[in-house]
Amino acid sequence: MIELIGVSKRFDNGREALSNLSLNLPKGSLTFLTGHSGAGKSTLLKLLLRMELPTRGQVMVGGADLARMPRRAVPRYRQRIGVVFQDHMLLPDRSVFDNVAIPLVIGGYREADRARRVRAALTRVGLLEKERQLPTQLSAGEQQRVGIARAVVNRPAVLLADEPTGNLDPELSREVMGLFHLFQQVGVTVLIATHDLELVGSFGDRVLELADGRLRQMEAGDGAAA
Amino acid sequence: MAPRPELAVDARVRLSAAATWLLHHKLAFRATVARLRSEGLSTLLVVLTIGIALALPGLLFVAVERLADVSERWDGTPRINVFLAGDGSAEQAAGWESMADVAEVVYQSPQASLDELLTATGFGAAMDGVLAGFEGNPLPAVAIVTPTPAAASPARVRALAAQLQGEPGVEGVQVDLEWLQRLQAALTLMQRLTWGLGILLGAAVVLVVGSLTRMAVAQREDEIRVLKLVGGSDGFVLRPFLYLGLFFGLTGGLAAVLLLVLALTFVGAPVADLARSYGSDFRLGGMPWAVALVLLGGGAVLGWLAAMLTARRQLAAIEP
Repeated sequence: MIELIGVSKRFDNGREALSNLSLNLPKGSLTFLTGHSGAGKSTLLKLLLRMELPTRGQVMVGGADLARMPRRAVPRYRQRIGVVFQDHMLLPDRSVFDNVAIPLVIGGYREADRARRVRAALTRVGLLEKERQLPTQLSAGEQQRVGIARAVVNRPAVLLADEPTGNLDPELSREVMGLFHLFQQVGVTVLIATHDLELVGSFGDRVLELADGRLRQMEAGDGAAA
Repeated sequence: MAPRPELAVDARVRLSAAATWLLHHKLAFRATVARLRSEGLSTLLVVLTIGIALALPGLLFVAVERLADVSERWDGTPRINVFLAGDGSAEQAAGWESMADVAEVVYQSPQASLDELLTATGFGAAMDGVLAGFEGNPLPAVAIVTPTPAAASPARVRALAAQLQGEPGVEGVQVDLEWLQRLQAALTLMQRLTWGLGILLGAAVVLVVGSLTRMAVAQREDEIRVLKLVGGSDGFVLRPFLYLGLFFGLTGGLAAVLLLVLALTFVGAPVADLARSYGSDFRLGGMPWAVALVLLGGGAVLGWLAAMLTARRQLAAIEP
């Protein structure tokens, strides 16, 4: 589902964030991406969201070559990728329901269908009773779960997460990770960037470690890797 | 949650492209209205500012057009009054009819001039005393010369007047052309001023709406970034700002129409009184439909354009 072939990314200031990186994440896999800050985790996620273009190499997602995708096709591509951010990036002046509904509004879903899917996603993260509240009225863990609900509400084939547990205590982190596994089990390809090694170790999924823009090690957990 | 095999679109539950477009417009419109309502007072002030900016050239335009109407309805053919020495002679005056540029000559004896004066002023009896001070009738005989339509241009009328001045027995020539010429020159100047003012104040509207749009975009930069990240197109993030510009332009135009109606009502009666005192039936009248439509349409176009020009470039620069 996600494939990188000889990908390098050099920024304008000459720093090479990724060097000749190749990897393949099969459909329905859950992978952790670890490494120190500055190792290239964020750059890799930005390439997958097509916020950045690779200097060399190919970035393939769902069969599409992102480097050759025209600019006007990018919104449609992003509609099919779910993203969870560290700081959840919710719109503070809209209710939980409206925040989660944004991808469906953009995607042009019918109103009845929007409501049904938003409630399904909120039920999944256990926040259905808070749909009328504003994000600022929720705790950090709840806000992060709203962010996850928004990421999965239009049932993307790929789910990307950038430090999704960065602001959460261990118990909430575990809860959030449980959600990601749930999505993996229904066939979503999940990639989670995190520096929380303790959390990573407790699950036993595939782990990719980046160091200085290169893949340092690859551990296959039980059954996750191809 | 059902598994999704590919990065494919689930077509059954999705709206058509056109319906999606309409949905986006509906939601952008609602969001804009809600935001404006929450900022009630400042919205009202902006609308009034735009309204005043549009109403000023509108008022000038209406006034100048009405004056131009009056000056054109004026019997355009100028007349030349030729004052004759002594009694003058009707025969001499009639002879001028053979001149190339002359259409008609009407001879008016001193007695006829006096009768006209007394009737026109309504001072018939009162004037008797005044006239008694004169030896006989103080008024001269007059030949009223009307040029042919072809010779009605100011230059040719002036040439004809000069020619008549040179005729024997002519004491003086008066052309009642100048004030009309001055009025028309003043009207042309005022029309130019109206257009100039309209362009300047139209530009002011564009600048006001543009800077409001710029502020609105800056305020919502985070939101725009999020919307782009979850797949909002440039058009999708631009749309609420276009509605904002359109709203300010349209309501500003409406405010201008209302202000103009108020102004025309307010000054209409005094203007009519003033005109009547000069013997004119000039009226400012009501609000012309065409001007109202131009104010509404022009406001809408200016607002939309200002938002478009400002926001599109600004939004393209906001990349997640």
